[in-house]
Amino acid sequence: MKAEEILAASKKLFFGGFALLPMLWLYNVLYVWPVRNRADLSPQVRHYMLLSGILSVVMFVVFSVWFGIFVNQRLNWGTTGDTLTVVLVKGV
Amino acid sequence: MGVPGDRYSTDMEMTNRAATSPSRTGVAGEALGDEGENIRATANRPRRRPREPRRRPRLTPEQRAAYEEAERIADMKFYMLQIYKIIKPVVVCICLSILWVKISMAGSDYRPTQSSYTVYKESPNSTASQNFLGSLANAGIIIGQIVIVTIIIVVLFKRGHIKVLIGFFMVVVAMLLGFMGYILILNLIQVLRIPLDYLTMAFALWNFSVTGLISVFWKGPMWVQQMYLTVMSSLMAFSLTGLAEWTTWMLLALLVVWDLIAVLCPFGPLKILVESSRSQNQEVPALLYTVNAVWFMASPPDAILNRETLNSKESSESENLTLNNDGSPRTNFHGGHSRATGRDGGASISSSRNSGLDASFSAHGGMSRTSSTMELVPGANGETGNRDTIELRERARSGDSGNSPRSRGEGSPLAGRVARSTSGRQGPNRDPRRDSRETDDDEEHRESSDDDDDDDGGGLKLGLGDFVFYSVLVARAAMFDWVTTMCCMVAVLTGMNATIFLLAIYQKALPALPISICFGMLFYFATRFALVPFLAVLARGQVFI
Repeated sequence: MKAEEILAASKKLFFGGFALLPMLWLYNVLYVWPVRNRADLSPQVRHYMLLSGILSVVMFVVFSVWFGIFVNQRLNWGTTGDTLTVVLVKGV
Repeated sequence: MGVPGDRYSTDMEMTNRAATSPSRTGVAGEALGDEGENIRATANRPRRRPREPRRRPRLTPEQRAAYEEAERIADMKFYMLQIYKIIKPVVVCICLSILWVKISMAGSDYRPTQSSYTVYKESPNSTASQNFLGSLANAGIIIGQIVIVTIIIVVLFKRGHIKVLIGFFMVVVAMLLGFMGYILILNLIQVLRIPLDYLTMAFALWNFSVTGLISVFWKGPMWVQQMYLTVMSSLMAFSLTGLAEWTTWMLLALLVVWDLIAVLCPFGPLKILVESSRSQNQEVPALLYTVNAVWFMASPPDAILNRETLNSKESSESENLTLNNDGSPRTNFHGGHSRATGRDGGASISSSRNSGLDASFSAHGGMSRTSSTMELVPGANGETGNRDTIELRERARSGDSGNSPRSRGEGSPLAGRVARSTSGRQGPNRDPRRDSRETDDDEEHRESSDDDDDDDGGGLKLGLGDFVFYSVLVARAAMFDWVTTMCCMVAVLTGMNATIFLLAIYQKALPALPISICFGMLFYFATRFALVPFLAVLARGQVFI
C-alpha cells in the first residue's frame, strides 16, 4: 500500500472518530501499527496514530467511569435510573 | 427479526460469488497487515517446491505426466493447509453461535423470537403431517425470498447497477450488525443480569457497527475483517435460531437443494450471474471469507484500471517494486492497485446456497479463482498469467477445453487459468489455447514473476452463507443437548473437509452446503433418537465406556 493512501486513510479514520466513534480511533491504530516504521511514511501518519490511540483510551476511560457510576448509583436515582436501564435486572 | 435474517442470508450468498475476486483485492487492505502476507506466504510455501518443474519451458510427455502428478500432490498439500485455515473461522463461528444459544437458553424465560415470515406455528399438539406441511410452507417462503433476492441481484448486476448492489449490501451489513447485535445484547443482559444503560449500549452498538461497515467495505487490517465476518455470521445464525424446529430442518434441507441447483445447474441463477460477470468484465459484489483476505467486491472502475495497468507489464512491475518496499515482496502485487485484481490463487469455496452464489472453489493452488473472478478481472497481472501457462497448455491439449459449460460456469480451475493467462497478457476474450501458445514464449520472462504470483494466491474462499447455515444447524442441535451439539459440529466439519477434498479432485466450484448439512442432519437425528437415549441408559446403569 502506498504511503499516501495510508495517510489519507488514517486521516479519515482520525476525523471520523470524532463522531462519537472511538472504535475508529482504535481501528486506526491497528491499521497503521504494522507499518508505522516504514521509511516512506509521512510523520503525520504517526501523529494521527498517536492521537487516535490517546483519544480512544480517553473515551474508553470516560465511558468506563460512566458505566461504573451508573451501575453503582442507578438504584439511588429512582425512576431516572430505571428509565436509563435497558432491561430491568431481576432481583435487585 | 426473521426478515433481516432471510434477506441477509440471501445476500450473503450473492456475496460469495463476488468474493472470489476479493482475495487479491483484499490485499489492498492487507497491505498494511503483515499477518495476511505471512499467512499467504506460509500457505504457498509447500506448493512451491513441487511447482518448480513447471517452469521449465518444454517438456516431454513423460516429464509432463510426472509434473502433473507432482503438481497434484502439491495441490493436495495446499488444500490441507487451506483446510486448517478455513476451519478456524468456521469453528469460531459455530462456537459463538452455540454460546449465544446456550446463554439465551440459560434464561428461564427464553422465548426465541418468531420470524415474522412464518405462516405456520408449531404446537405440541399438532400431528407430524401438520408439522411437515406447515414447516414446508414456512421454509418455502424463506427459500422463495432467497430465490427472489438472488434473481433481483442477478438482474441488477446484469444491468450494471453495481453501486445499488453495494449500497444494498451495506444496508444489510449495517442492519445485521446493529439490529441483530441489539437483539443479542438484549438476550445476554437479560440472562446474565447485567445492568446496562441506553447510553452505553447505543454508543457501543454505534461504534461496533460503523467499524464493522468500514472494515468490511473499505480497508483495514485483514484480521479485523475476518473477525467481523465471523461475528456477523454468528449473529445471523443466532437470528435464525428463532425458527421453529421443523421449519429449521426443512429450511436446511431445501437449502441443500437450492445450493445444488444454483451452483451446478446450467441455468442456475449463479451460473447466469457468473456468465454475465464474465461478459461484462465486472466482479460481482459479494461477501466472502477468504483465507487470506476478505474482499468486498471490486468496483468496476478498479477492474478497468487494473486491466489497463496490466496491459503494460512494466507498469505492473513498477507496482511490484513499490510493494516490495513495503516489505512484502511477493504479496501484493495486486493489492496495491485494486481489489479487483484477480490474483487470488487459491480455491474459493463459495456456497451458492444463500444467494445463489455458489460455492466455488477453485482450486488450483494459488491460482485458481472462481470463475467469475477470473473472468471478471482480466487484468490480474500480466505476470500472473505466467505461472499457469504450462498447465493451461496441457489441459487445453488434453481436450479439457475451457468451453465446457461446467468449467466455465463454475470457475473451474481451467477456466481460471485461462482467464488469467489471457488477462495477463491480453484482453479477456482470448482463446485459451492461443494464449497458452503465446505464453510459452513468454514463459521464461515470466518465470521470475511466477513466484510472486503464487504467493498471492488467496486460498480457499467460503461464502458467509455457508458459515451461517453450518452455525444454524449446530445451534439448533445445541438447543437439544450437548451430545447432539458435538456430534453435529464434527459432522459439519467433516462434511466441509470432504467438500474441500472433492474440490481438490474436481477443481471446480462446488456448493459447500450439501455434504455438510446432510451429514449434520443425519448425525443430529441419529444422535437424538439413538445415541442420547443409549447414553441415558448407560448413565443410569453406571456403565462407562
